[in-house]
Amino acid sequence: MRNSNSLFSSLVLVLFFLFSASTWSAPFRVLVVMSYEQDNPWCLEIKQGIDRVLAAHAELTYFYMNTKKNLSQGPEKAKEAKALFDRLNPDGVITVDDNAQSMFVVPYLKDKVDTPIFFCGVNGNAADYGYPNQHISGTLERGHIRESIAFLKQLLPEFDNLCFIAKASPSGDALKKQVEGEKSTYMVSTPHFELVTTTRQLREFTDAHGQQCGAFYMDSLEGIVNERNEPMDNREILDFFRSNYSGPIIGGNRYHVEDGAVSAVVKTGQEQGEIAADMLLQALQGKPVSELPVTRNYKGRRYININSLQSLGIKPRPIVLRGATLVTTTDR
Amino acid sequence: MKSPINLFNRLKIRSKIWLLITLLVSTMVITLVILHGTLSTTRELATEVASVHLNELIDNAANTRRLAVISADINRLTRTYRTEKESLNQQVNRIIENLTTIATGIKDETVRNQLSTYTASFKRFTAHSFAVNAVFEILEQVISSTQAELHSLENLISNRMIESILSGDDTDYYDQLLSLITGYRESLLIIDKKTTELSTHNFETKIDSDDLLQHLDTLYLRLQTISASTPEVAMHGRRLTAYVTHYQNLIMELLQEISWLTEEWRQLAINESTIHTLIEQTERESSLAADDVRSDIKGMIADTGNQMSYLLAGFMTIIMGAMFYLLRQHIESPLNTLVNKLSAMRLEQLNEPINIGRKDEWRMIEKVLNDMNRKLVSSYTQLEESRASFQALVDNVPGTVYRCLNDSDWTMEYLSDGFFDLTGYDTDAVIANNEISYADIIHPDDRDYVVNTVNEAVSNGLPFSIEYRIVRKDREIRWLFERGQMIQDPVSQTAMKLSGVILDVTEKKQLSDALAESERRYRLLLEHTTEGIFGFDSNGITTFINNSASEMLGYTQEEMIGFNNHKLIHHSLPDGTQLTEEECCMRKPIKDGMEYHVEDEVLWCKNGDSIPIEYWSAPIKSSDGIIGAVVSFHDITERKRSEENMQHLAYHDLLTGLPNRSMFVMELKQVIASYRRYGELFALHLMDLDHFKEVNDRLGHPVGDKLLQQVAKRLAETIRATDILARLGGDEFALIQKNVDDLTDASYLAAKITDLFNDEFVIDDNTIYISTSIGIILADEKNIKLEEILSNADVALYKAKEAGRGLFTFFGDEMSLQMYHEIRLSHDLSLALKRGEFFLQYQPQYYATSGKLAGIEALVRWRHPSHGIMLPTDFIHIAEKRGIIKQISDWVMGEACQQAKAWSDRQIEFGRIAINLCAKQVNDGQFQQSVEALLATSGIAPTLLEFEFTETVLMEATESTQKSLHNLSAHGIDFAIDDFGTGFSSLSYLRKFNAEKIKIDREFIRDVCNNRNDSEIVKAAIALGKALKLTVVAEGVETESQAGFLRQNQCDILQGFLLSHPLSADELEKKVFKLENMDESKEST
Repeated sequence: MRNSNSLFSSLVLVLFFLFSASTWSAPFRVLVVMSYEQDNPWCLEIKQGIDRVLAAHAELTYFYMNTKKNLSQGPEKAKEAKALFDRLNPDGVITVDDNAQSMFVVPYLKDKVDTPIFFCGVNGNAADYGYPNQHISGTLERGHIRESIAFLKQLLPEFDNLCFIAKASPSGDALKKQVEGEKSTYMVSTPHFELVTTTRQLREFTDAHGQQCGAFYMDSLEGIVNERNEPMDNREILDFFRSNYSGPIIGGNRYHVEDGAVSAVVKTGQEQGEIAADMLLQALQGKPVSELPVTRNYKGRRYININSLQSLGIKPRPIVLRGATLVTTTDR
Repeated sequence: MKSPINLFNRLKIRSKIWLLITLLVSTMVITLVILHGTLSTTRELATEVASVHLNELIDNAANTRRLAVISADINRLTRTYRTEKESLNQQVNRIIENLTTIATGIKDETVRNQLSTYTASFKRFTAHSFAVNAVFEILEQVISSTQAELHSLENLISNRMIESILSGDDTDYYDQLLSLITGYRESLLIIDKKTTELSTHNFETKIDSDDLLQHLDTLYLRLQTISASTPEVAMHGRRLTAYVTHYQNLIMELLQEISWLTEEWRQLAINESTIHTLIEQTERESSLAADDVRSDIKGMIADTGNQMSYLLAGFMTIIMGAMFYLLRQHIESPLNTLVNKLSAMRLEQLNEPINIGRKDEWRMIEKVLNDMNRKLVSSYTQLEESRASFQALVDNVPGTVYRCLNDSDWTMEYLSDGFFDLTGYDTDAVIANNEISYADIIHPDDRDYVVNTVNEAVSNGLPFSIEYRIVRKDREIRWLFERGQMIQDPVSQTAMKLSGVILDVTEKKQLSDALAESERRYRLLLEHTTEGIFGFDSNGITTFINNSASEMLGYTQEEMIGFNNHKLIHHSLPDGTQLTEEECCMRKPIKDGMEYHVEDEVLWCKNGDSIPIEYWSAPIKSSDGIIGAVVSFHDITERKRSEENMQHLAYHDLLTGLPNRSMFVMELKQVIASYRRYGELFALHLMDLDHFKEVNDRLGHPVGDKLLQQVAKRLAETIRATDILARLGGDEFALIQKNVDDLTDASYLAAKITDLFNDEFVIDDNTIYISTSIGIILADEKNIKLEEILSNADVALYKAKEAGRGLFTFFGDEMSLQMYHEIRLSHDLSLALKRGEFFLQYQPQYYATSGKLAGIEALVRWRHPSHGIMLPTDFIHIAEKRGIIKQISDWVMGEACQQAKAWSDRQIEFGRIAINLCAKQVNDGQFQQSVEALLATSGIAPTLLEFEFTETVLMEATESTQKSLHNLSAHGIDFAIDDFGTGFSSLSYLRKFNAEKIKIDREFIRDVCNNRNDSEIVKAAIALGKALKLTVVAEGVETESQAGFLRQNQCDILQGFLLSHPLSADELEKKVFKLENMDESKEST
């Protein structure tokens, strides 16, 4: 009896290992197409979220379209991405930010393949891209503007109006639409919303209206070009912006605060990456895409830049710091 | 006809005074009549004031008082309307009712109208108070709801956080949220506190609500940021925002209500103040009317006063005139005459009579004074005679008589004529300190002493006697004796003076000093000698004792002198025998006048110790014969100790301090004598250290000597007090063991001694292992001689050395070797546990019919270092004798439980593990607790245990043991009766102890197929077990025929070599568990 028990146990053990080995040797293949460059802080955040969910289950291949710095090359990059898709024949695809939707998914994949595709970081409306459909769903990106205003008002109670500035891009347009839609719920007035593509435009705008703006909200500004027509990264833009505007600036992402914005209730790429990756994993495990409706990011996190706080002479009440993460301007 | 003036002159002074008094009384009567008239008018006026104006004042005061009470109530209400919400309505009604009552009692229209306004204002105030309370109640509800919402949110976030942690997700977001919520809670607490402060605000100060509103604003803002969260969290955020907004609105409403309330409070205060002003005005008017009346009364009193003053002035003038005439004519004139006469008497013109020349009371005075004058003349005469007698007396007193003032110099007032002979000074030179004071004549060294002595006597009111020196005028120093006392000055009756006699005592003083010096020298001699000396009178009462004696005896001189010295210090001899006073040699010189010398007695000290002394007692003679004796003595303790040391050295070994051969021989002689006389058996152990010479040669004699000292110490600590241990010389020791019963006693002591050498000796960093051989002789022949005993012990010692050293042997006893072996084994057994020489084997038990494993019995084995594996039958009886059976059984139980737990953990099924218990273990008071502790520490399930013990254990079981067994049975432990059939096989025990099994002893199984008796016994035992529903186990099954018999007779379980030998745990796992599987395989096929 004892011997037969041992035999059975051994058999189960062997089968378990065989099964485990087969599982391990055949993970899902997933292609992730990012709109921006590899070292873009937003892309890094999204990647962290995707890796956290899928790294254990899938073989991940990342492709970067670099459209922040070179928008014109976007269609070409989209072709490369399609070639990679064909070569890789992935079990699922994650596409990040609006450019990847407009340049890659809509022209090459939407309704052309059955591969489940999940988007994230999309500022525009899903319907603009014909989402969702039978194989595409994902998560929209929405900035926590109303909350950021309330947060800044805690630090600076006298602040009573907010100007917006973003890059003239699909993301900037989407941001503007969001503000238009919800500004009636803001606790301050929003006299200006400016979309720019160059630092000159940015300076002209701040010269003309900076005095009337109690604070600025900036987002999706990466990629605007300087005097030499070179695309600028977020830190460069913020440095430039602060040299032209001495008031408080709030941003949409954590790296905005780390680069010099005074505060923000930020959206995180990690959250959106995790949501898209989790939806894809469910789809790969057999759940129909139609049962995975389009969603959005929710988890806003409060960040305050201490250096900016000090330079603005703000001395917040200690209670305001509760539930907020304090950062300093990161060195580069 | 006589004129009125003449008539008046003829009256006596007393009659004239009466006449004057009559005049005074008449004047007073007239004055009073006038005063009465005035007071009647005043009373009428005062009555008018009281009846009209004061009534008004009283009414006002009553109303004011009632209003004050109501004002106080209202004031209190303005402070407590928040805290006394329940009774607020009741209080308001009561106050309004009281205000109405007061209003009806007020006649003044203006005041009544103002009171009505005050009442209306109060009603408005209370209406706002109710409103404020209502808002506060809603605020409390909102706070409560907000806190509940926060609580719900916290739960939600905590759950999500736990889920995130479990799924390995990032928890920073939830950390932030939790921190944010903590901040909300904090703000909520502050807001609640600030709101509560509003409820206790003071109307007189402005409400500071800015901080509260700011907190609310901040909280509102912070709540706005939480909407950037998952929908469920955001939903809570929205609810919280709604609560906070509601709260803000309520606070605004509250502030408005409080503002109105404050305004009404001010109005209330103004109205109250107005009422009080009006009442005060009414009071002032009444007061003015009263002032008019008071002014009238004052005028009337002033007029009356003036009239009275004039009248009294007239009367007083007449009376003063009458009194002047009376004094001048009848007192002053005769008094002057009398004074002149008395002045003449002072000039000792006593013989002239006094004549005043009047006929009234002065005539009587004149007569009395003339009588007194006559008596005074007679007294003067007597005084002169007395003074002459006193002078004659003083002149005959030796020395001098004095009287002086009690001042610092003793200023002399009187000195008799002897003063010149005494001091060489004239009395005139010393009286009144004319040339020298008496104090200066006193010797400077004695002056303070004299001053102190005299002052002390004077302050106590006692006479004094004093001796002191003076320096005569010719510088000669003389000793004086003075006796004096304080006297009262006969003239002043207050001043105190000294009076006394002074004598010259110089010669007497010189004589007594010489005597004292002589005494002092003798005393010095007595006190400084080292000999103790004391004296006593004919009754034995100590009269003196010197310091040496006092120190030696520990008694102070006060404790000795005046007491009977024999009873105190010489009552007994050294051995405690009482010594009577008649036999006492110290006392004998008083009887026979001889001197005595004694040196074998002791004196008893105060602390109870005795000191040996040598003493001489001699009589003290005087002219009246022998009046006592004197004893001189000294302590001879050292001398005695020295003698004793010499005695000790003669009979003891210097190195070890043990008795030496001489003393040993003396003791042995005594023991032999005692054996012959009383039959007291004894044993002589002769010991010789093995290889001691090598120690000496290798490590030197000093180490050898120290080794001998340590050996002696260990031996001395081991033996009884009655035994005698001696060192005979070198490394040879001898021990006389008294009161021996038999050989066993001697052998156990010998074993103990050999055990003493198991532990190493450490001397000067050298570790020495050494043993001893012992030859023992037990005296069993009363005629045996001392030399024979010693010789035989020597032979036995030689045998022990021959047998291998470290052993002991008895002279002439062949059994001694066997006994030695048992003792040796016993010794080894005591070390076996420490050395880990025990181990367990396990013998399986099988069901007789199915052949399946039924259980395992744990069996102890001893791996002896020289005898190999030993079975329990070889050593258990020794363990029982040596009292270490319990330790071994405890070890077996612990080890078996650990092994069983290990098998159990590996899910190996073995039934139960049977463990044999000894009687000491089971009957130990802590048996149950130790088993429970073992269960707890090993973790083994009780249902895996079976305890086996023999019927003997059950027979010895106490009630406590029974209870323990029942309790352990309740835990699930089974009990089996081992060796069933060899004991009493009492059925009552089986019933009483809840045994589940009986194990038939192997003795009956061995011949069960051949011996009819055994087979019947086995059958009966099985039948008994069946009848009692017990499982029957047969032990020692070694053949197939035995197994067949047992199966045929339905024995349940078999155990024995036929089925399996006892195995180690590993072997058991390999062989038995494998065997079990094979059996199962067989069955299945």
